[in-house]
Amino acid sequence: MRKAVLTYLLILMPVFLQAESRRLVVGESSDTLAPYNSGFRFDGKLGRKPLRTALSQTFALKDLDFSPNPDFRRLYITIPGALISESGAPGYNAVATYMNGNALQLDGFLVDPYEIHPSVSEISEIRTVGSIVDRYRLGMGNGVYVTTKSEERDGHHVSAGFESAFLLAGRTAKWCNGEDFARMMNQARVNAGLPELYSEEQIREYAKSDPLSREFPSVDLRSETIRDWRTSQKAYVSMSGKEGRTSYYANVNWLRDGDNLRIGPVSDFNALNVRGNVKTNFTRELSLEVHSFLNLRFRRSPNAGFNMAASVTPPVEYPLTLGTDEEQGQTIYGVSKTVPNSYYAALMESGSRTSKYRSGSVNAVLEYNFGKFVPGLSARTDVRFLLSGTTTDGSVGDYLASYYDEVSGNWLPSSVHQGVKSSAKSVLGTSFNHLFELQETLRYSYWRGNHRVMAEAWAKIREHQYPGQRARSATISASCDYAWKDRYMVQAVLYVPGSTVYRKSERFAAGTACGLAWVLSNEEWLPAETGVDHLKLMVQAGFGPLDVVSSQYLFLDSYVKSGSFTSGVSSVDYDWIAQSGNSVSKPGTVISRLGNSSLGRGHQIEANAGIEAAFLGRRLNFFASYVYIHDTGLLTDANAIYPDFYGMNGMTTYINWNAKKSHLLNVGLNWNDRKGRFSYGIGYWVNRQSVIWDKYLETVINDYSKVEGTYTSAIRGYTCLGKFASEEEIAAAPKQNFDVRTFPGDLRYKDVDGNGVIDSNDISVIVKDAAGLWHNLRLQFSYGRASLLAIFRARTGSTVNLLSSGYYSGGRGYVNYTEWMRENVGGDYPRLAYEGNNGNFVTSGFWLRSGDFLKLANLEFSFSYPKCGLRLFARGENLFCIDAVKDLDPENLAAGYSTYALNRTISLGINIGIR
Amino acid sequence: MKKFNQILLLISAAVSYGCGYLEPLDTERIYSEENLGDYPSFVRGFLETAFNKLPNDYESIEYAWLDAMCGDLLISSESHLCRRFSTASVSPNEGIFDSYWKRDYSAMLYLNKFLKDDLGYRTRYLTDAEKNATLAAHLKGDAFALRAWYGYDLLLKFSGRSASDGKLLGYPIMTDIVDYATVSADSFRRNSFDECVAQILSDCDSALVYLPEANRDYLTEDHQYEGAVRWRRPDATIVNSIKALTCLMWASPSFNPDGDRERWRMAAEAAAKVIDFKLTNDLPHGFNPKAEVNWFSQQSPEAIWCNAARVTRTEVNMYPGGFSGTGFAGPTQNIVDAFPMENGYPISREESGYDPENPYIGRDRRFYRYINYDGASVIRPSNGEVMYTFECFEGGKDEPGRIRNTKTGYYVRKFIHQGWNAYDDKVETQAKALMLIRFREICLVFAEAANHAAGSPLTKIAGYSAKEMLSLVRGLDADPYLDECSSSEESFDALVRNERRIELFMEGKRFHDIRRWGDEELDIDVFRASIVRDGEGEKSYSRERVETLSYPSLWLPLPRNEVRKASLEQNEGWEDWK
Repeated sequence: MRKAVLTYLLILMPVFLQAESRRLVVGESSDTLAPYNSGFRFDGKLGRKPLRTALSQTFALKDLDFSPNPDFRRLYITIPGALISESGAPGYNAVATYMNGNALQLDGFLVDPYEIHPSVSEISEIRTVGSIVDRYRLGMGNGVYVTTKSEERDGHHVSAGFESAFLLAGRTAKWCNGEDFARMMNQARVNAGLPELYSEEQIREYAKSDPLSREFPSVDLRSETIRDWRTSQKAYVSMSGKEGRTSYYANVNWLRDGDNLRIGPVSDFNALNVRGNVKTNFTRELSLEVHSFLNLRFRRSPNAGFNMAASVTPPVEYPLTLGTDEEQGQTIYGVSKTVPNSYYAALMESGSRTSKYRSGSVNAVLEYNFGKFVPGLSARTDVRFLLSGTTTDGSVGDYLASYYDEVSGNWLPSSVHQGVKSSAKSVLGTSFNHLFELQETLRYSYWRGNHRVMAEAWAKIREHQYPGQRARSATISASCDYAWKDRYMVQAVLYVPGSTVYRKSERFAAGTACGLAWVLSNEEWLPAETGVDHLKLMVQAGFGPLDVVSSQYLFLDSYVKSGSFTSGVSSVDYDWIAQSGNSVSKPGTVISRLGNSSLGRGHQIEANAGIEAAFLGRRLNFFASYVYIHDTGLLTDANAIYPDFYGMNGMTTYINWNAKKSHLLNVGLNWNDRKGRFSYGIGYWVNRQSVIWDKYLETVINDYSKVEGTYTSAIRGYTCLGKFASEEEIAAAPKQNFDVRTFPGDLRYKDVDGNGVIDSNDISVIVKDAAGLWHNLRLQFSYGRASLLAIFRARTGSTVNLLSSGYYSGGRGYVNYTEWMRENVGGDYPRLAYEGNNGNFVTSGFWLRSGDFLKLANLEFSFSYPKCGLRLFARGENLFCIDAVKDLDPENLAAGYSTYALNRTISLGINIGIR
Repeated sequence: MKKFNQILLLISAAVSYGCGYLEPLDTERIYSEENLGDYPSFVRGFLETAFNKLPNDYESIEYAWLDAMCGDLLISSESHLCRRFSTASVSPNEGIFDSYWKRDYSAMLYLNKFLKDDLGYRTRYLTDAEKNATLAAHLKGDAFALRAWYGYDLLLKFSGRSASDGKLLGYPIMTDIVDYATVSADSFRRNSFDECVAQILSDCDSALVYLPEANRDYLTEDHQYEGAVRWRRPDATIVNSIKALTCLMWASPSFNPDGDRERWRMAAEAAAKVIDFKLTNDLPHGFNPKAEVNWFSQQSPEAIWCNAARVTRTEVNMYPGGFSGTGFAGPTQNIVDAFPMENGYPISREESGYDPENPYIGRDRRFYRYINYDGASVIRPSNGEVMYTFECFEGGKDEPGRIRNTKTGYYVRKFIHQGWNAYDDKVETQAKALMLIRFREICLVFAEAANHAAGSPLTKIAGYSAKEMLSLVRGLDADPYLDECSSSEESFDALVRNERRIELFMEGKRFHDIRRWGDEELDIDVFRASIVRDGEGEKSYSRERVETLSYPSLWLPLPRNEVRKASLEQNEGWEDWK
């Protein structure tokens, strides 16, 4: 292995030729476009840009500019193939993925989408990595890499901004009130052959909706504890400038997000980011860049947490409060014997906690240009250091509660909640994380006449420490690019990663990839009149190792001491065994893992192809890319096929077995134009991803139960044939083994294996692929100083399972009902019953709905005065959603039911820039 | 060139440093097969882990809820898996006995590791060679005894007739560690019932070589490693009990198609050894065979093999909502009717004096200890205070059907600490012990086995007669009904069966008993009490059907994943479970 690497490096050693030394950093577009032109643009001239043989875009913000200050999350989703999934929780709640990778880096630091400062004047380039050649060249996973720009002209620039937002909860779950609950509960009991619980008189009293009534309480817990709106603010100040050889950039930004809790201790989220970059050219050859990044996040929240599903407690169970305790002045809360806890009380009295996350990172880059000795050769050293830690501290308390006892007819104090007063603040938890990287890069470039060559080799070591683990890796990569006349391009790369987690002979592995591109538009034989400004065909292929193991020693056995057995008598109850106590306790040995000495890395093969085109004066841009990835040797627990009589139940045995095939398709179209002061742009992209199990460890008896060969997003369940209409139909149909009895109105399922019994062997794939396609449409208009931007997100061809949310699948037992259940009893909600109703709540076509939706993700209206650098904007996010699942959001069925609802946001803001 | 050489050297140095750079930290000691021999406590730990897998709570599917499966108990929730299983409404992926298969085989793996190549026997635990020899021998005996026990557990639960050819099958016998990487799962099969019994008895005999007669301080002088310090670990009385239980099952009609009486004799003789030891040796030291069973101490004299006492939720589960319980399961009218009157006669007989208008008066003493009925009271033992009285008539606070009441009109009293009262400032709790094998159970084994072995309950085997032992369990000084039944093998057998039913209520025996006798109906109706109180306060008692049990066969299903992964034979009646 070492020899191969050294030979490769030797081959790349440059021949002494005249070449201009270039510092190949991120490129700039050679076009100057008027501002507010939208979308991505392709350019056949290489200029100083790095070669690309796959659809990894490098967008200069001037190319992509559509409004000088979009929120980065909104900018991100217009990148073709980039997906963001957000929750409604306060603070950083977005998870960004691009082409299955989740790297999001700013100046070399991994960041959250919220931490990327949105101002376009700060970002110089967004680079997307989605192909194997780029991953091996950069040593990074798929993702989006953002760089801030460095000033080119002398001078200083200050900008600042402030934004205030109002967030309104979107779709939220609605619950029954006391009267409706009582009626439904009576019906549910009768349907299960049990006596009713509430009399007519009681129901009449519940209708008065008095949450403090001791005899007939009716509590709307949701409206007492949660409100549907909150506010959020953002502010930033940034400075950049250049003087002589030094340029700098500094940015401080702050985000504050409130919380949706109506009562209880202060709950909010605050984050502060401070970033500073300094770049100095000491001499023509030597330059130094230092980037530093400080991130603080504080989250204050009550210990009881945000629990929207607390409304599952029956509203008539107990009143909210019973009054005040005379002696101690504490409020007495109501509970009951059946439900001994009260969420309302917990919010008010259980104390609060503050979770503080602090991280600091520094990157230093030292670059030396060997142009004097070897023209075109440069070396670069990167040092990166990150330290982060989380501390949670808070105070814990309890509430004073009483429950009603029928026997005595009194309210008796609860033994569980006795009103322990809040303790003083104490530390509730800590954790830390530190990361260190050192990278050494050698670059050589040669550019003369029709030839252009760039070769690069780097080596990197990395150490990551967190509680319980120290993981180290060492990586080497060597690549070579060649272009002839800007028409034909070749890229080749060799990638050698090494990691501690594998056994010694498996530590290092090698991967290689190669890419070709053909810029048809630069061919002489293509006439200029065809209107084709740019046409580029690209193809790449590569294979290499797949890192499947994340923790140390998985290839070894693991025997641990666990539990103990005590024999003997510790104290003497009877003296027929012994006269005095004597006992002995010995620890037990548990085998938690059986080793596999051949456990190693998986294997990955990737092939991709892409087309880029620009027409009509580069007003119309088109791209399409297809990526095929075959991952084999995924980490699998072999116990899936070992029978339990081996005795190995509970012991993991890892092997490399499972395999997946992924197909990713991205297609996009972009049109922009301007007429005088009016300019407009339309952009659209669609993304489809399908992943299939190529190999899966399992034992099945029916072919239709196999997981191998199916999509990973397949939905499995029973085939629903409708509802039973009569007892005769039930008697004639195959026996359904979900409950003791089946009633008319229950769902009827198909006997797939034909054995006369409906059981788990009748589960088959009912939806081949539930994932669907993702669409994004961007419309932009600007006239003079005003501009309007609208971004739509949509998903088509997807399926969601309503049973994943308790909003639809609950209602059995002594629990509250949701409004949807009340409206749909007998229809979309099968037979209402207190118990014995499990057969209606198994996954089948009855509970599947189309998960398609169309959302207006962003609607922004702005005015700018470029002369004084002032910009005012008003923005609305997630203003509406058109879909088939009307009660909750199809993108996240838990939102609004058990977790925060997704929010509709209206915000106003102002940006000022001064030179 | 010089520069190239220097650069090359730098690179190779960097690369070789890189390789060393990636050595992982030895931050946690990795214990594995290779270094096991250096750590005697790890070797012993295999045995202790197997001990830890012994059951420790009566409220589990393998103990109390098994009585729910034969109609003596009714679990209130219709969705409970036991309830659905007993009405043939479960799916193969809801195998409620699967966890016991996994547990038993997992324990066997640890025991096999301990016994393989005498690993446990050869390990040096103590510096004193003589004491070490004794200890190692005892541990080896422990391992064999446990392996016999887990084998018996598997046999009890999973044996049956094969679905394909009707042969009597047991379980796949595992006496060695499986080389899982090379061996194919299909090469294993279920061994026949007889083979399994032979293996269990052989393990018992191996254990007897190494174990002391009983773990008692008065039998030995070195109390540091022998005697009562080994309480909870096996000894010869325990191993003989296992032998008796296994032979009892082997001799029972369902598994004894030829009616071989020798098997009954083997069971009787093994049981007799245990009884003999208890009555001869323990009696002078404080064992009173007539004393009430004490469920709250792991040293209870009734215990032959006992697990540690621990505080359980029995009181909360078994009491009605009115006394802060949840009414999880209730005894049925079926079991209530099985209790005889205090003179020993069953209620169907005139001589008993049973009064249908006052069915709870004058019943067998165990009825009052095991069951809470309409009118029963919970009395605090320390001061005689009446804490709660049950009102199970229609309209009463404990009537069947209310949210936290049972559905039968009866509540469990067995295992419950009578001083528990949730309304107290400081609630009294009492730890409970699980008796894996107890004395009266062995007496009943002997009574049944000796009766069949000799053909008459009066014949003595090993110095004891079946009638004597049954009389000990029934606990009556004058027992005319017993005398009457002792005239023939069949009538005595019927009496033994009923005694087993009421004495071992909620100890998970009856369900297996019905299956091994094979001649009683499993698919029965389950009844609840229906008590109607009229205007004057007069109560009339009747019964109402509340459930009908239904089983596809006498056998329990093997876990369907095992059938699938290793093509094992499934039991008759459960062909769909694959």
